[in-house]
Amino acid sequence: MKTIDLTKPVMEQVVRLERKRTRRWIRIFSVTVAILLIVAALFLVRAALRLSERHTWDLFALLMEDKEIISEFWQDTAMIFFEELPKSSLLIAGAVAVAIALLFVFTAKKRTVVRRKMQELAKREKKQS
Amino acid sequence: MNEKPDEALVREVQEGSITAYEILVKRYQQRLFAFVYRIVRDEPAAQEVVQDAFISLYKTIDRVDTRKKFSSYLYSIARNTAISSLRARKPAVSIDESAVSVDEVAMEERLASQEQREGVRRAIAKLEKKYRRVITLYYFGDLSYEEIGETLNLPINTVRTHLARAKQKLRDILYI
Repeated sequence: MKTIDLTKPVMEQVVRLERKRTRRWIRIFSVTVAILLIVAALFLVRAALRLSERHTWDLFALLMEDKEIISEFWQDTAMIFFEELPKSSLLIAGAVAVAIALLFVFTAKKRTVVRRKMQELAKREKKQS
Repeated sequence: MNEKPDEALVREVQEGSITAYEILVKRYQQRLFAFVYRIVRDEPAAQEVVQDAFISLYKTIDRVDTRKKFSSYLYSIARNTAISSLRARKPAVSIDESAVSVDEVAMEERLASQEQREGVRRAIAKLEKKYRRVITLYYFGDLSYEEIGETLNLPINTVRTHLARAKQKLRDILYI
């Protein structure tokens, strides 16, 4: 029986396939994280603008006052601040931040695998060039 | 130096090692080629089938259960790929260039051994399907009883019985 060596053609196809798969996964992961970050940022900005409209930031002027005035009025000021917070926007921004954290947690193993594949692909490219 | 077992290499591939897959390719390509050749009967086609089988395996390697025999899974893929290749291939007419060799003695020897091989192949083709599959995997695929059992989904004792009966029948066919 003839001796064959198909290692080179097989591995060339494997490398091509893996390069395509890895790049696709990184692209999808990056776009997903970017979209989630943008959504969280938008809702945070929206919350900040609502606070500006209501002049809620003016409550922080208390911090410029004397110690005695601060200790007397800080609880009331804090209560008003929390009442005026746009809760729905902050809730959504918070939920999106949690989603980003969970995404990183659940993809931890996959990211390790992808990182290893990219290192091996880079080593092979270096060997070839 | 101890070779890493197949299952350890498969785990490494699942964890992202392309080098581990290269070791598996080098380890199995010759055996797989011999096994596939018995099915497709054509060297270039067999090489193509072996390449396709390795690529199909790589695409599905994450699904491989490392508690089971890796070689059985690989041979199953190769067999299915070979059968698909046979179905897709039109019969090709090829000229045996060795038949026009000037060296008559060498040509006669070649023809004699070809006749012997042809005789064995014809005898195997006459066997019932269940015996034919087992004997092909054992002698040409170089699989163990356990691997044959896993590939064909048969208990090991059944594999042993089939193999013994196949050998007996081959003897009857070849020496009548």
